[in-house]
Amino acid sequence: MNRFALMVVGSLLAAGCGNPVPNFGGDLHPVPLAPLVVLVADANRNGTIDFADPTETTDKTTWNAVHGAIMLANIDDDQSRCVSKDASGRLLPDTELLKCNDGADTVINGESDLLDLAPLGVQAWPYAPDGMTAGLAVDAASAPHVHLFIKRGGAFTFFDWTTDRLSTDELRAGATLAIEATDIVRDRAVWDGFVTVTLSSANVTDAVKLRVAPVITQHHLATEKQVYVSAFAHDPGSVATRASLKAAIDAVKGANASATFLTEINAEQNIGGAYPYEDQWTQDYFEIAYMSMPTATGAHVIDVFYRSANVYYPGTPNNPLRDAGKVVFAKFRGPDSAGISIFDLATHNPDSDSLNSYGNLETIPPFSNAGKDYPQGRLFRGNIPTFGPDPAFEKMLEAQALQPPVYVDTSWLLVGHVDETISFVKAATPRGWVMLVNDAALARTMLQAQVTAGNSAVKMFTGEKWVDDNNVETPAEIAISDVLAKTDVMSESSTSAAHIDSQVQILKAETGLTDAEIIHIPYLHEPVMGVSLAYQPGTVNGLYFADDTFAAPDPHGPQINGVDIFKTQMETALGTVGVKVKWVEDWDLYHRLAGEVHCGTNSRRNAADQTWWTSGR
Amino acid sequence: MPVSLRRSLVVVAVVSASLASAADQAALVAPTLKLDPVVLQKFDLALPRARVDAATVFSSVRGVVAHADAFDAKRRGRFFPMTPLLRDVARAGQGHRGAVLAFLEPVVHPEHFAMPRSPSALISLRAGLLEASADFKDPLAAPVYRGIVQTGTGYYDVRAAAEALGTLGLEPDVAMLSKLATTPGPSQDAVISGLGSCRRLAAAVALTDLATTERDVKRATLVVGSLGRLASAWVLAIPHAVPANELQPLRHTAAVGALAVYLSAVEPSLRDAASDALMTIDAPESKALIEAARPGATEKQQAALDALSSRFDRNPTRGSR
Repeated sequence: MNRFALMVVGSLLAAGCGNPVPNFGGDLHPVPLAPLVVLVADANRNGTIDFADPTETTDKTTWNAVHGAIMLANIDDDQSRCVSKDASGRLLPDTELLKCNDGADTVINGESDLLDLAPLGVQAWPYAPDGMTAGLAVDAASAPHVHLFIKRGGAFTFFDWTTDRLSTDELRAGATLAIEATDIVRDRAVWDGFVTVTLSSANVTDAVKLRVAPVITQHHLATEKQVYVSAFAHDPGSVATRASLKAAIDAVKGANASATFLTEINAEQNIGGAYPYEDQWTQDYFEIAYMSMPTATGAHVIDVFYRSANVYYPGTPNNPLRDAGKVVFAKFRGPDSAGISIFDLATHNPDSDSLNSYGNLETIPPFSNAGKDYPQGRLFRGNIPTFGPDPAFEKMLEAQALQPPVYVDTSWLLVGHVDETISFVKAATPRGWVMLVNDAALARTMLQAQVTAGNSAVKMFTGEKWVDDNNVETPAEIAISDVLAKTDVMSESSTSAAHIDSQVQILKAETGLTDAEIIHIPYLHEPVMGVSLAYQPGTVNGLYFADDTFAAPDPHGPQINGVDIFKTQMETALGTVGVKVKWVEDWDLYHRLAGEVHCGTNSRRNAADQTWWTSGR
Repeated sequence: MPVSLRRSLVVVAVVSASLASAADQAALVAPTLKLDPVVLQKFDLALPRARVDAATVFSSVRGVVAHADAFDAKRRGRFFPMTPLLRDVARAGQGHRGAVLAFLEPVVHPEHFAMPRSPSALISLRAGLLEASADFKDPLAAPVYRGIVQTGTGYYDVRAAAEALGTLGLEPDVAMLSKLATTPGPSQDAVISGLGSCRRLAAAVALTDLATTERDVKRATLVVGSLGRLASAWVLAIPHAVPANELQPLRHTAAVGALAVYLSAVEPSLRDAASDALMTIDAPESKALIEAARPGATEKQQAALDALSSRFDRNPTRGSR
């Protein structure tokens, strides 16, 4: 509380009361009578502590779109000191890997680590009486998740508010403090991430409220900084996919741009004895999100690598997760790069474990609808009551509060991921983006048109095989008329068309999208074990790596007059919104194994220009 | 082992709402199939000749079986999708007499093979073999399918066998499947799911009977899903997909059944599933059925019928774009 009172006193300040030195000149001096107990956080979000700025010093416990301080969960590893292996060189079990980060200890781990802390300041109380001290406290809900530090002797040291106090000298000179959260918000019923820090002295208190930065996933409109793909050096399918992906990147971003823009994760390397990655589904086992706070030089960003909650070994409680996900901690955790792993074995549903893969975690780009703004977009997931992802992870996602999820039914899909049927690209429209939607009916119509045109015998999937390098290799090519005569493909495709329409209706209702903002992308489905899988390469399931370019799987459609009709359709459709298509070969290592280009890649996008705090959410 | 196979991942998982829980995993791993001795004897007698006539198919299937654990090792979900690759082995084997037996041998005589050790690999392999075998439409396989359906060796086995038997569409089998679908029991859900490939009127009638009485949401969802697949307008447009004299009554019956579920559904997901099935069936008389349902409909049902009618106006399965 800013309770100042002036009292006119003689110059009889007792010796030892400190500066200013008593003046015996006979004048009367204004001397604060009431304690000056002032705690300030960066409420005006300019990155500094401004004791004289009313935008900083008023309404300090208010947090809204224009006002209120922000702090980070300091869970990166700025000195790269976290170990991921035991003494014998084997990777630590899952439950151990996630324990180490900068917030797990009570020291500042270097100068870079200090940048991850939010500033607090105690205003100087020059006339603090001798022996006067002050305490700091954090609200009960936040207490387990927050560390305070104080600058003493030129260095920051842990401030244990349960035992430590600001000294008289510190009160008189003012104190520089810093605060970190030790975790992100996981369950708002337990902790909502709003932290109230209270300074108390001389029966006066002053408080500030900060908010722990939410973890935000990136949408396709954010600028791509890095693309990841798993690399199997000697696998022809991997070689083909990476080669065409590099060619696409170089064609769009300049010669040899892929050398830095594309990160190949050596999927054959052994990360600690027993855990080779051997997982080409790069999209699925990690997701790159971010958290950020304002500083004097712009947003300070920590990338957050979510590890997927895919449980592969439920019988091993300390090490149950998908092996490749260990890369989050073994490779990606580091300076300004955090790892998160949240799962609950008790509620794990093996039937729907695939929904924990991040092909089932997409982000609808920013929009406003029905009077509500979503400047960071909204999460988009397959999740229904009887078929959903890990509840603990889902609760954490929802707890971030900024991107309320839109859920659709993906239970009818074999893999069950939203990226199998829907994607988003930038467009020069009032909304700024359009939605790509798989349309099996359009695929059938296109093929029927070719039959009518006398092209029923033209083959599709020409030159492709279903399985290679063992004795079950079979040619995949099939005539248009034979595809249309496949009862299983027609049955599954027609039901898929209806199911996808249901997804679309939900998205239209939630976003306000119009039919004119939906681009239909044709491919058929086939049934497997009673559920659905893309029969043709799922061309929606691609990588949007530049504002004007979408990398889609080569559809290997029928060539009419030397032109693939499915390529032409997609190029034309996306051309209407100024997006070009680059074709990536993914048949061998991805399509025939139930995935596509998007499933095999991952993206890190720019977050430095994002000011989530202005959203008011 | 070939590199790409070692790494091939996969998928699955999903299984519709009705699929068995993890607790049932042990039951899902099919035990040894106990066929009628006469059926088994006939099967065994046919094998040697088939191995000669369809040698490459037998070899290919053996290769898939040998690699099933490797396929499964890094699957994306619960199962590797064996079906697509086995279907193409089947496609390559069309015209080879007895080729269907190559797909059934690992199911009937697992002792002839180094079968996968992982439960999920075993489940997906057996289901894939049965699903692929259905593409032959070979009555030679029917006794094996019947044995699986009647002895109930696990959800996925039974579902795939019911589907294969339904695809064959022999009347006694359709009658048997229809009875199993409407009779409470451990195989009921699997048979209901498999019936979606049985494009015979009797199957549509059985499912529709069930649709009007079933109160369990998961099972009702399965029922409407099968009605939609069974009477898919796209499939019915394929010549000979359905006996000509059954086409219209089959479609009408399925539409009536799906509409009944749509009207009675309380759970939104079930109503959505019923709506999807109706779109898929796309019966010409759909609008008339909706109007016929209006008298006596509650206010809420009237609104639902309005929504359904509107959806028909832009039926997403029509591909008119």
